Amino acid sequence: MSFYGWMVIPAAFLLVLITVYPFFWMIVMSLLKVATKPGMKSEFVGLANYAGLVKDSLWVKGWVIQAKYVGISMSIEFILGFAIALFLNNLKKGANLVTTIVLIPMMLAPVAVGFLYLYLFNSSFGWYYWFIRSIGILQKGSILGDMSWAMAAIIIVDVWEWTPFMALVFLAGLKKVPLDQLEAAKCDGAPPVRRFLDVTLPNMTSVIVIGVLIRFIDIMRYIDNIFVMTTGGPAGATKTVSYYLFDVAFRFFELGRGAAHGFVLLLVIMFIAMFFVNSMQKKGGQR
Amino acid sequence: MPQNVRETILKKRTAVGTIFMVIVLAVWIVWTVTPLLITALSCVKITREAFATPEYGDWKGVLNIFRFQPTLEHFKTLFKVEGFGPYIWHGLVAAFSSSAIAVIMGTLGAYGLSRGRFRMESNISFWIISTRMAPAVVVIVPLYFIFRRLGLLSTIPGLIVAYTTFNLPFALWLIKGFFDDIPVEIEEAAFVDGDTHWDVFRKIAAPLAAPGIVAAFVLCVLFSWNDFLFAAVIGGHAAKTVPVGITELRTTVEVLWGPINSATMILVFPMIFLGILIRKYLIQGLTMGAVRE
Repeated sequence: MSFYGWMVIPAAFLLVLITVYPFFWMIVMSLLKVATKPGMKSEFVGLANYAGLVKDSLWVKGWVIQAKYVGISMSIEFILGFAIALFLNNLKKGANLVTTIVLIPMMLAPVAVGFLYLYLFNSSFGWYYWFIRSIGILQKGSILGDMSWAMAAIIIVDVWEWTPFMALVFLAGLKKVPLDQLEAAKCDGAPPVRRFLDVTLPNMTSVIVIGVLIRFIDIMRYIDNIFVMTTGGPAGATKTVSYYLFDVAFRFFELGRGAAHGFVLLLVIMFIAMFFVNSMQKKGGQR
Repeated sequence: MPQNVRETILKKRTAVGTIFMVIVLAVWIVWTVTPLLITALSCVKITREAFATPEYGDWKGVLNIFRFQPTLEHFKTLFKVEGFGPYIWHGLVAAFSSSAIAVIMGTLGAYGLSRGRFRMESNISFWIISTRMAPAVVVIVPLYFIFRRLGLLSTIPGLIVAYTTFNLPFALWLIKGFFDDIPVEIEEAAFVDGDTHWDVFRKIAAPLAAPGIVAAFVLCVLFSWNDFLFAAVIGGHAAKTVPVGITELRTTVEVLWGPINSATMILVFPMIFLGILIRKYLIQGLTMGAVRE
């Protein structure tokens, strides 16, 4: 074998052991009723776990909640991120310092972010709760105890933590827009809006797709702040399909059903990601 | 391109536009910093002062945030009563060990993948990237099952292996991007001088990719230290880390806000520092090399 082959072997071997092997087991587990205690035997149940998913109303509802959570969060992050990127790109002085401050939230542990906001939203001493009451949007009750406010709260938290990511990705894209094209458009007398639509945006297509794709993958991955802030409540209002998997596998300890649930979730994420990548390639965007 | 040329092309600014821009950025900075500031101040306040929100609508009461006598009482509770010290240690050991394994194997593998020709190369790449798509909960289900049989649950080695499941593919892919950027001609010149493959890797390629290797290591540490789900499910009792420790300060009886806020600061500050240290590579890292600043 070549030198390069030998270099890859340790990583490849370990990767197979810790990712391919568990993946294989996940598929096997999804066909079993997994024993809860070491002494018991797991039994083969065929596709019953998958059939069980469809019959589970919480699972079906979880997708709706997830779609709402992901859709609203990502739309807000996209728009705000783009605005901030444009402003940062135009900033003459202090752009570096401002950028550094702006990106702080995405380095924090999602659990920590959950607690920061749990404290701020507390009904008796949270400063954000106090602010919302003071300006009069909320008359009574609590934020995390109300079904629609709780959803708004977890969206706000995601927007706080991850808008900087969108902003920095878009900023990187804006910096790569060829200046000669912008100049040419300007010489032709194109107004700023036209220059933005005809020159800036087409040059950013690939960066936008990558940013949205990664953000989508990540928002599907993390359930930490939901765990800290609402544990899926109140009355299941924030129980996304990702979060519900945690309940199924590690609260009800139905590992077989959890594996089926996880496998379907993974397939959906991959399917949507592939769709994204393909549409980018069709548009002729390059990496 | 010089800065001033850039400016003349892009910036035809009106005063109103500038003011609007500055206001939006200022609001965004306040919005970003406020949660951290409030919690940072709360952890050095006594409980009564930390809970001192004024009457609704009493805007002058905002100053209550800054009115307090500094105290370290909550940190004392955190370490002496709640025994938080070991959690920090567990987190550090697991994060650094896993990151070291991932970066060492990742660097070797990345160099091999970048320079060698393999059958099924695109399949290997797809597998590595697709690991980034798997939600943590999804990965944990089979890992829990396997670890239970191997007796690795609630042990530090188990936690290290669990973290390596996301650190290794990440480090491998990110570092490969840095090797791909090195012109092969530099290495070919060294071969002509009679260096072996290993010499070329050690003396030329690895040093040139060093910033990427360091960035990958720092990001691996950051992901592992910040992780909650793996530590909660796989780590369990004997291998609790800081994020798990914090969630346990909230019991059904009471919520220990003072210690929680203190622990939150311990959790976030080292990572803010590390993140700023590798700021240049942060976006490249988080997008697995697809977007570069």
